[in-house]
Amino acid sequence: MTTEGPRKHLPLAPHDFEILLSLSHGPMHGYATITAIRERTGGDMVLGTSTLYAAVRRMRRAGLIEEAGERPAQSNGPPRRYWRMTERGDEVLRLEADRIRRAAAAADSVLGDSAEMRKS
Amino acid sequence: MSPALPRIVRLYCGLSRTLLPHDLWAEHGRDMNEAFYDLYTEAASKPTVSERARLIGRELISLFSTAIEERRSTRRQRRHLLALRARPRTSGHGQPPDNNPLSGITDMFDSVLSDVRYTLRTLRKSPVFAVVAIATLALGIGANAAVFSVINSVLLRPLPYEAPEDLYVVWTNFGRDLPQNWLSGPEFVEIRDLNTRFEEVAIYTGAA
Repeated sequence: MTTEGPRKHLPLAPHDFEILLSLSHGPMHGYATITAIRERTGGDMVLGTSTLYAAVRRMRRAGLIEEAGERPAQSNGPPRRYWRMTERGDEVLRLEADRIRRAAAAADSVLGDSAEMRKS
Repeated sequence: MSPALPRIVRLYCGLSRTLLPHDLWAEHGRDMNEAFYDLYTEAASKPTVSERARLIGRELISLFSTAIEERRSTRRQRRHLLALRARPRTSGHGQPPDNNPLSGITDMFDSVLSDVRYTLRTLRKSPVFAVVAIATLALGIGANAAVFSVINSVLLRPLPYEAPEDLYVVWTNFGRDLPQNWLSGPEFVEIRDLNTRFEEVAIYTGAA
């Protein structure tokens, strides 16, 4: 786990942000994370399983998420491995959400000004 | 996963194991296969096949792009480590200026050699991937060479005669049912004797 500040991880890659956002509701396994992201983004972001687990490994190494044990599968087969967000992950998620809010506000301000100028 | 896995799920398991770097697959291969199984089960429950086709397409793209990106990232890390190890030790005054005009070329060759060594090491570590990659290359090169040799001899190279553009093949025409037929011996003799159009007339046979 890294000892550097959480701001080092910003800006987060869009799918890293969505994964953390999904895990903010509680521990999840891979399939549940993919479907949660798909539903929340209205199908705009559909992660492939290898993309998801490459990100899971990267974020686990960065100390943003950790393993939360195994639980029985709802379908057939062996238990699924669950992942949860760490305190550091929560901190990074909040900083990233704040950064996005500020960026969106700045964009609104600039685009609003441009629209006003076009009208006048 | 259930013991009777659909063929596509088994194929995905094999492909992910072959393509992904060993360390990623060792850590998350089982998770990936189970998530793919769950996604496939969900897609298979839909009435149309388009959902399954979309899933398979998306997963293949994800698999290939992850394999490329992860291998590239590993190579970057190794190169960075090699550069750190190779950095000359200075006496606290920073690095001495490099005035050698050939050092850029030397660096480039070092980098190429390092890439070649890394590729060989990776291929040795993943023999299945190496065999698949080499077999694909061999098949591709072989198929290209075969197609080119046919095109070259049939279309590109002229026939081995003095004026190949003046050569004609003469057929007999027996109407709609048999518009293009070989000549018989007597027909050839007749054409040769009555010939006023061609410099010479010859006959050949396709029989062995």
